[in-house]
Amino acid sequence: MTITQEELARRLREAREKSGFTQEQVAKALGLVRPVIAQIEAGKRKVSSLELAALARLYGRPLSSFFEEAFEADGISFIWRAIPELHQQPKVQRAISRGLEIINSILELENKLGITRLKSAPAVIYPKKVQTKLEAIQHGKEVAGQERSRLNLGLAPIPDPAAILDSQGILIFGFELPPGISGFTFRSDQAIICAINADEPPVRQRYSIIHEYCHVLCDLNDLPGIVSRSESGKDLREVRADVFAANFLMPEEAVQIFLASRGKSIPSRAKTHLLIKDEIVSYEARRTEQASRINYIDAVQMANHFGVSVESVIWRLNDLKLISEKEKKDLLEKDKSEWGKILKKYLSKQHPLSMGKNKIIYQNAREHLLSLAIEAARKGLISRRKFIELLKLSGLAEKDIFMFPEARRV
Amino acid sequence: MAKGEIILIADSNAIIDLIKLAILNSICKLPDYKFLIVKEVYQEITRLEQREMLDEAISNRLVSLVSLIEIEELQLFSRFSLSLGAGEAASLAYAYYHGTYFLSDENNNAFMREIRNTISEARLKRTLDILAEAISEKLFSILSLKKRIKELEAKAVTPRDLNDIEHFKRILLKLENRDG
Repeated sequence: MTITQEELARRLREAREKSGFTQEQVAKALGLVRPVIAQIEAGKRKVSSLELAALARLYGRPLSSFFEEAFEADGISFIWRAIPELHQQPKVQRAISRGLEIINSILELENKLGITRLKSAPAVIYPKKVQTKLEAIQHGKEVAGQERSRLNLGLAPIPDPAAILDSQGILIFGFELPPGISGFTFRSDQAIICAINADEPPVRQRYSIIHEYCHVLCDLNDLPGIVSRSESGKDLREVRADVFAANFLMPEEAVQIFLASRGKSIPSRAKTHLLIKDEIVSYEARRTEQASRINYIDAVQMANHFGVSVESVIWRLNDLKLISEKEKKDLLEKDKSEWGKILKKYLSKQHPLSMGKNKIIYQNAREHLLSLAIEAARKGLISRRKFIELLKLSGLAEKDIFMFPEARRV
Repeated sequence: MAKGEIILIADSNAIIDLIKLAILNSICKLPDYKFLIVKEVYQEITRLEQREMLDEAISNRLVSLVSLIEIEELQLFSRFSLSLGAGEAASLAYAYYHGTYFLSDENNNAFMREIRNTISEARLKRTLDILAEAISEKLFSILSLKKRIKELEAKAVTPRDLNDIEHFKRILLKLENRDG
């Protein structure tokens, strides 16, 4: 289908408006003056291919989207509307535009390579509009239990949260996002995509991955996407996702078993089950007053055990009524103190999950793009120049690019 | 043939090769040819010294800079961009829409597939072809090219430079074989 110049002009205006950019901001980003953008959008000046590609990159849309039969003005644009301050932060805005360009390139390459996910979404979703905070908490808790059970996760800690999303057909990537934004989730034609703020500490990122998973399970049914802000605690969707993440990563029973194994905080005559030589043995454990108090070292060890932050452990212990408000306050203060930092440094050193701090905990978008580009080049689906462009987009330096046989002239 | 009869739109590698071989100005003086580049190709030439030589050729009207602005050109560009680099996609869209020749030494499957589906191999010119014509027009000689390649070889440092030298040597060999 060939569209008219007027239709293209209309689509360009619509794409800008849906992305929340002003003509002035677009002009500045493209190195033009505002009247030029106004003329282009009014169909009074023809847009060049160079300008069109720059506009597509700025809005985070595939270039081809402007020529599709059914023009989808909304789509990914929700991100720009959901994070309006992006327009005031050119550096972050460029990072987001580039991130979206990477996602679009990944989806285009996957399409070219005929990659079809066996799943394009989780088999089960739990959409529910929650009206009160209590309802949000209850629903988050319920869904976490149901989902853990559906995925047969038992009570064990989750070594790689990203692998869970991956197993459900969800694409998950790390991006440089503005402070205060832990991630965002959206649905494209091909897949559900979760983006995690790669600048946050890895334990926080693990939490964010599961937080975003809750949005996939509960919110994407009636929204194009959702942005998670750390300060949006009053938003009931965010409350539910936080409760979900805490319950999913640290199930109540798993927390109790962990604490009991350290002689902490089990009821004075609690029934405990142990698996000894294929036989479940129940026994009543007694505790001493001294042993029952949960201290900061327990919280650090528990954080290591579940692969979460000490802060989220403290909140979880309080949610489960295993520590009082006063104890929570004391532990949080310790967590922020210099002593707390030193303790975390040494206690986390050799723990397998915390060692993941130095590892990639999800598939990095740039790495995924790189591997797809190599595959597409090897199969002769993209030209050598396109391959070089994609490698540059993946962040490779020119001196490294020409080490790839596919980048060389033969 | 009158001057300007064969319109040749060049991709960035072809232009860079001519600049490296120090024959851009001579080649652009070939009778019967008019050399064009799209703005995307101009942007792909990022090395300062190469950009300066290209600017000089543009200001001397040896090379003309063109843009894609017609809706059909934009649509073609968008389509070709899925498998070609920006400069290639824009050049091919221009060549296809305006019925010009395309100067490129690319030969991988994706590139050739797009060529065959659009302008056909008959309208694809190779650097070898125009070098041979320039030599027959006595714009420069094989000997001078050989000398230049040796100079470049002595200065080559990066993997890209070395890869270019290999490419030039292959062209040189073919020229010598043609020459008999």
